[in-house]
Amino acid sequence: MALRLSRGAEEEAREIVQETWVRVAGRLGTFRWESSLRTWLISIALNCARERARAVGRETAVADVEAAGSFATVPSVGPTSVEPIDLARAIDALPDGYRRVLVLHDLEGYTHDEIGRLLGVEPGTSKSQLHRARAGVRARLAAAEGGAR
Amino acid sequence: MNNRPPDEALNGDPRVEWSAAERAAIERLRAAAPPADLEESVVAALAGRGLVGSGDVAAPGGVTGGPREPRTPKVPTHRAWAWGALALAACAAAFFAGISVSDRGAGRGPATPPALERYLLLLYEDESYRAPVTPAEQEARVAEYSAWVSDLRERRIEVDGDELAPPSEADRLDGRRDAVEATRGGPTGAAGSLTGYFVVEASDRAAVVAIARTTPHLKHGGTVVVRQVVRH
Repeated sequence: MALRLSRGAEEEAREIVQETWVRVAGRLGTFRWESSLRTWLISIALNCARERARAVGRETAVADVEAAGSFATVPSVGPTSVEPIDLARAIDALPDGYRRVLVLHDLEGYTHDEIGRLLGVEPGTSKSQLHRARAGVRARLAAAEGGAR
Repeated sequence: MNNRPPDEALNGDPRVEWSAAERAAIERLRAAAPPADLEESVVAALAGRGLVGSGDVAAPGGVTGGPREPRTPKVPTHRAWAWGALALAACAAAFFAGISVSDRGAGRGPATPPALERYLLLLYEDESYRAPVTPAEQEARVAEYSAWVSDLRERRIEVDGDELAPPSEADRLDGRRDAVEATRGGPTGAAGSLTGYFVVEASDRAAVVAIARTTPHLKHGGTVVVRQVVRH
């Protein structure tokens, strides 16, 4: 998850994981079991990733994400063959907001209600961002497939 | 949670329903193993902040100067987890496995940072050490060790150190004899010759051993001996 949140930057991902552990160890006594331990840990990791993104000037606001435009050329049929590296690149190319939702939903398995609580957004926002994120990934995969021909 | 259909509530739009190939790629992405040294670097980060206590951090082969055992992956590669999830789950597993965590933030009043001790990491080389041969390799090796130091410092771990001149250039003085004279050549023990050292601050032995495990010296076949500096 850290690797995808950092757009494939391994060193940044490593720092996110390290900082997450440090915060978890320091704040363990404040954990109240009001959420699952995993969700608490994920929320800390998300904050670490967000702070890193801000630090390098990469944080994308939701408004900017919406303004990024629709993915007009999305094929209705997915590719018949996808290499994980191509999928990873397509995910990494997404704006931050879309990428977070897609990672949480499709890679980590959270529901939109859970994502809404984790990111502080409405479940409907999570759904629409996932929709756009998948469209973005599909469009990029199609472009890569077309370029490879 | 992970077992539910991943395409919930997208209104059946075929443009955003994953194809079988895309699903397979997602599964392979989720199954990607994290770097083998991730756990070590995380433990070192925790150790550097005094957050890992004593007890159950396993001592690595080679640190005590004895025969080194093959390094085994400490990350469970059989689980199909992404980096972060694996690290976080390992965190929880480590807690339950007995690695003690400091009481910082445990709601029992202000935290008191643990007193840090100074340790020497003595670097030994024998014939099993894969020494750099060419000037370029030498330069790369120095850069690698320097990067390790920089990484620790970035994590606010106090560290310093130097490479030593070849043992053949050492001067040895032996007080066991009546007339103390300097002779050329340093002693060579079971771990080989002393060729460098680091001085590191850490909260306790387990913490410094965790840090020592990350030295590039071990990767190249060297031996690291950890010695605590005694306070007087």
